[in-house]
Amino acid sequence: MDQCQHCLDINRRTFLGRGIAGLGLLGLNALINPRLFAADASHGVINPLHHPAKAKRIIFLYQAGGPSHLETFDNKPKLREMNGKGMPESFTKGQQIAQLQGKTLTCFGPQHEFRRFGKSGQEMCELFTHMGGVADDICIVRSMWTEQINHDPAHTIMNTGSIIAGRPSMGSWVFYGLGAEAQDLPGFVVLLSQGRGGQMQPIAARQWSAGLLPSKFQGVKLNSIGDPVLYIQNPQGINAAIQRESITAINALNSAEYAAVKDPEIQTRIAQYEMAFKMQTSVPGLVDMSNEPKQVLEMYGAQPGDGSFASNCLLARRLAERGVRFIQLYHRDWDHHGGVKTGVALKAEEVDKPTAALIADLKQRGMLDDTLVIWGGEFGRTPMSQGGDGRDHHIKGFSFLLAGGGIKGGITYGSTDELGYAAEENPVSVHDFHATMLHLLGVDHKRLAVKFQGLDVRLTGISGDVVKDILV
Amino acid sequence: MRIEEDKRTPQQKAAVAAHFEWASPEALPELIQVANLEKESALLDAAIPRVVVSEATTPTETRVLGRGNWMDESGEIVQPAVPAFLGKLDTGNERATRLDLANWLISPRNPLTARVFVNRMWRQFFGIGLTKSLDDFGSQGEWPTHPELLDWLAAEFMHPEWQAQGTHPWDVRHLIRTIVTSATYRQSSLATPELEESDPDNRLLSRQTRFRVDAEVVRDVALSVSGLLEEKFGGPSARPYEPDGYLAAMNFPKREYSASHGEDLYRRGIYTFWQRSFLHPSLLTFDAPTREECTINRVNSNTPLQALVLLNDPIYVEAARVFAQNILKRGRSLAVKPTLSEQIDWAFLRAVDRPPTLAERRILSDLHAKSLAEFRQAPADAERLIHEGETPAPGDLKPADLAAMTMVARAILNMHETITRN
Repeated sequence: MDQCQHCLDINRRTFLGRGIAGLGLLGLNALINPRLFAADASHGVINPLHHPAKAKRIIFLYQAGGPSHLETFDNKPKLREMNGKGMPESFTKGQQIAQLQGKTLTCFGPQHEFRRFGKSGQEMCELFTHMGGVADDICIVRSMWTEQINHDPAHTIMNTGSIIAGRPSMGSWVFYGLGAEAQDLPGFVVLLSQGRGGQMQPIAARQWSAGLLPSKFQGVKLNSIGDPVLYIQNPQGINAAIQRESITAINALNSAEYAAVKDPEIQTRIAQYEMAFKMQTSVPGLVDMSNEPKQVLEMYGAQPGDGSFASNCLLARRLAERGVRFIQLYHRDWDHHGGVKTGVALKAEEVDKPTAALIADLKQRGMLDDTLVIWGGEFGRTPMSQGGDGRDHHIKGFSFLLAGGGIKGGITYGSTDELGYAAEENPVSVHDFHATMLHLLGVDHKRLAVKFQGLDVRLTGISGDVVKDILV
Repeated sequence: MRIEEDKRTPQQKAAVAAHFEWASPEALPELIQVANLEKESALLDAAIPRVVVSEATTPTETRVLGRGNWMDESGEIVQPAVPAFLGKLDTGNERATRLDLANWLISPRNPLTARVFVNRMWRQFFGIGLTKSLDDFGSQGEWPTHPELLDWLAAEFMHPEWQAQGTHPWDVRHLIRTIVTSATYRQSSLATPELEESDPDNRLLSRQTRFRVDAEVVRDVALSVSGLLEEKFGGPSARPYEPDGYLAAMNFPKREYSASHGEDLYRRGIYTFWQRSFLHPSLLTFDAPTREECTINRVNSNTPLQALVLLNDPIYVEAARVFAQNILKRGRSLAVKPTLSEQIDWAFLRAVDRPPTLAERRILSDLHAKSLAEFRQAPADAERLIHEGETPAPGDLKPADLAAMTMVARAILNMHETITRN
């Protein structure tokens, strides 16, 4: 019950202690809780950490729509060989299928060549040459599988560990568990970009919702075009001086009320108005990339203000530097029911260089050691063709990339069967992935739970094992 | 006429009516009125949508689905029932129907429904239920702080006895009246340090509880205090101002948002259009749930984003400006015009139902002086500020004066006390 009260009540003391911690007023919070200065401490409810953390923050480069593993990181020569032949029924019998239901199932070989990269000789599709350049820092997991075959529920389980809408997203769990380090930014930030291919599956705000956790743990979507945070700009006609005067006056009025009624919630309100004013200065500065050196912009392929995945990758680094705990980028446009060959090539143009640049940039700044970078989508795509040149949704096997933050680089973990249909060796479930991610952050996934409707709700539900073999 | 009325054929009825029309010309206007009303009534009747209810003749077979697998048809066949720990439906040996469930829910022998309901009502008025666990009255729920009170209220709700005239069983209005006219409800929320120490969460109800009002009400308070609120009842949802591109991540179809115009911009928060999964950002910021999951107990957070909404969302800026117009126009025709202090006092009283202290008045008059100086130097800024929102700016107030008073009004609307139920 106690754990439940942590998060679900309107207990004011909780807000003073944690509400501010939630958005990282370290000074004030440390005053209340001196333990925060301890090495194994966090700013959230997991305090101290369950074990020493390898990663302090996470950048999840979410490839929305379902990237084909067969044109990215999982080469299947046998499938190429069987191109055009019937898909053996032994693979598909009784399996769930999306749009190919009732159709003749035909093998469809990888549409691009693969080659080996780096000292480790990791095998990757040749379209991803830049990512190949950091192959020795990357762990390729080829044996991911999920339970949901349509986009929205598949996103939901990937983000929340459940297909039931209303559970907290992983970013909210991490923010709730560990708090934020940022002084003037939210602990969980979301960035969206669109591909040029037009496969624009929608993304619901539920994917970064705090669900049953207090709403302050929800992801804050930074808009890459227009105001980065909603209502961050002063209203028309109000300059910075008047805004400052107004906030000073509001806080003075609130202080007067506090003196009269001694409600600690008022102190929190005062702190939040100060924080809001700081954000009004810091957030525009954060997204203003004009002070980034030209070679850095070129390295990412970013043009400030274009709202591209490249710009968002650079922004992710800037957010990581400023202490944001969980940074999630969504790049939409991977839903290649048709034209998978040109589609993936277009995606490679958009994501290959910036992904590699982000990993290299973090590394050269010494941040890759404690930043976990994740690259992957909600599911993979069928080894069978759809309409002759596309692939359908596929849940039995797909690939994820992990780098930094306590992950062994230059290795490939797990595999699918010879036709790339199902995860065969060392299958990794979504819950296993979540358990591993939390483990790297110093959190035991079984002990990060809240009581809700009589259940201990966890990101990993009732399953999930840490994938130890890929850890340093 | 010798035939009794209920035995006449339609032709006979028509003949009698025709004779009556001929014999009583003075009734003609009423007859025409009746005919017109009958015509309207028929039109109205035709416009009412009909609900088609079909009843299955043979009930569908329902099976337990092992691990939720709907393709597995080998599970045990089950009959309609309530969970075993809640007793049994009284149906003889018949298969239970929805009516049985309804009767069971409100049976005098089932106190649970009424207890749960009155506890939720109590939460509305005291910020916390008599038991905190609004959704769990079982062994994992919290034991109520005042079990006798919970029981008495539940019994009173099911069958009113106290001041019961004009009430009826399950009368929500009676329940609310009983709660809000109680001495407990009408207490002050001021606590002594001893009380804060011994009963910090006010579970013993020796005072009233203080809480920030719900998202919709935050909006209503600003609109109502400023004089902008449109109190129209019912009708289609309203679309307040919303930042451009807020729905850009949606598809099938792509959503283009355009705000309402006129009175719909100023309607109560409960009428705000509810875009599932992309709820209006101002409501979301103040903890309105996205409705993807049944939410019994809204959390009540206190974040910097809330400050940004109250400071910068155009509707709150417009509300502050219209509030300022009303402050400035009040008493203008009097021989002795109100002083700035009197204007501030009136505005403050209007927002929080008490006059400001000396210190509070000073804070606001200082803000006024500084803002006035700024806006006199930058008249273009004043113009832009007072043209925020659809309400036309009045031509008979100096822009700098209105802009400066808008800053005072905005500060008042941003006070913690303004959005707090004391």
